Amino acid sequence: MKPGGLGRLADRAGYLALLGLGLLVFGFPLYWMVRGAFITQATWLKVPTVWLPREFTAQAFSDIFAQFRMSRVLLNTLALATATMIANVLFDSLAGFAFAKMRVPFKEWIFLTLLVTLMVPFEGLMVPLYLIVTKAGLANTMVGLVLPGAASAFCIYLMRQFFSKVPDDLIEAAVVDGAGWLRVFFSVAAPLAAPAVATVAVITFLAGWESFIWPLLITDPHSKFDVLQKVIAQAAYTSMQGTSAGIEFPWLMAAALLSTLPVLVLFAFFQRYFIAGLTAGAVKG
Amino acid sequence: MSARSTPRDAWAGALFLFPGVGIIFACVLLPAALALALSFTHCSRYGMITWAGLYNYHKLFTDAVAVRSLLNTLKYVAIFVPANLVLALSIALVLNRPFPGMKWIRSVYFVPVVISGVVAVSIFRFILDRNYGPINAVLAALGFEPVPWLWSESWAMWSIIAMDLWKSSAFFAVIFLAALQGVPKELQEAATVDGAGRLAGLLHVTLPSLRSVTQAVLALSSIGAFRVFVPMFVLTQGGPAYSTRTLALHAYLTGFRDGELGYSSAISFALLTVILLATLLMKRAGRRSE
Repeated sequence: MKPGGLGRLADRAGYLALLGLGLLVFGFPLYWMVRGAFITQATWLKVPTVWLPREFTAQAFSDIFAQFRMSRVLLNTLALATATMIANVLFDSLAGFAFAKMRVPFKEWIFLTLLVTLMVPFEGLMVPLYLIVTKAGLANTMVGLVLPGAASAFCIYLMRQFFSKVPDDLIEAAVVDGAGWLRVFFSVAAPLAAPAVATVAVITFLAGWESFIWPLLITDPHSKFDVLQKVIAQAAYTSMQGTSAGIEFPWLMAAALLSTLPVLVLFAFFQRYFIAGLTAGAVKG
Repeated sequence: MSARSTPRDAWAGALFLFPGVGIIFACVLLPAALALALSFTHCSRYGMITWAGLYNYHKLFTDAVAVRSLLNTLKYVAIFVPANLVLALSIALVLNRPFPGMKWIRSVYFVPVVISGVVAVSIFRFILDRNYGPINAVLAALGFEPVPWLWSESWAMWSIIAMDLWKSSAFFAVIFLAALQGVPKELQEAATVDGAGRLAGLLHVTLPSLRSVTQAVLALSSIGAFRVFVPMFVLTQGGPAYSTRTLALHAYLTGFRDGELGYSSAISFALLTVILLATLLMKRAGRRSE
């Protein structure tokens, strides 16, 4: 391929075509969701397909708030995500700090075991985990709902990596000053770790907001602890039976939009921490 | 750490570790041990437990549905993992070139990353709708018969692989893009100035520097493919005619729907073993190629 001339033009045209194809493939489903959320079922079912609807309505949103107790569901989802985030920020950074800077018997072994748990998929554990949590009397409770996601081996690993870079002298000086470990942690170490804590906060909030299998298992079908993903999944499955199954298609897309919008807003504000969390595992590990 | 380290410090350390590590051990190691124990028993939903020996494992290899689930899982991995690698790398390469408005273009490409699995699956349920879906509308306009995608034994698995690729390739493209931005620009430019051309530069400079990321992506995406569950669970429940039943779903359905907890545990344990073996094999292959 010589610089300039026809080769360069073909190169540029090919690149534009690829870029455009990607935009279509990745953008279209998002458009289809938004379109579906603001039309009526009648518009949806028209043949030929209405690609660019002229009339919009928010009917689907008022329908789902009436049909699915959506305000309750949204509150539950927000509570689950927030509780998951707070628990992780606290537990993961405490553990990460201890792994990096404190003397604990068998520390290396415990850490190694923790890394092994990263390879164990939740899907292989759900039946026994369900039995254990139910036996402990925590089915249909907020504690049971939050528990399995309340700490993350991956985030502990992240925090340990971060705290390892904090100079020992800084910690030691504070300890020699007679400050207890909790004081050292909260007033010296944790403030230094703000960016890592933000990464953990963002990815665990997202994990809580989007968690689905566990809430579905540990709460009854129409529980007062219903969360958004569970409601969407149940509606999606029902809708597979066709238009007569009682789920109007726009409802599903309206609920999907309610699930996606907060995440998009979060992503816009905290993109740096999202990317840090996504790439940390692969690029450094 | 310091000479002053006392037993009290050890206690403090243990207390710092306890909540996080305790929760993870209680929710991973304990259930894994329980799964192993239950896999040698007949255990019903109501807690009736009797010793079964190797019965459940024997059943695993003779139960036609289990074998079908294993084959489906292997098919999924064999198609998804290479396709995901090629797509994710291509997307990252496309997005790594300078172009006006690239920041905005990238954010469209990365939409699948922030959409939840359940939402992605619900959107694709409508995009692939047999009667009112846009894909079938385009096919009809081109004069083709509509395809019953998710409702058809021959297409359902392919449909689910496609929707998973849509979500995963964007996720892994983020990782590749971050790594590409770490490849020194001078190296890439030097190759191009040498008259090597874009393709040669890609083959000899860019790709070799992505080796460790590629290994990580292969490992992560194959673990993800082995455990695939959400799309089948939400849309097809393994159907039509077992065509989308995977090991993870088989473990779920025998445990929660049929109430055979012992057998379900054996399936779960087989799944864990398959994943651990695959991870170890990949680690070894990675080490050998270095």
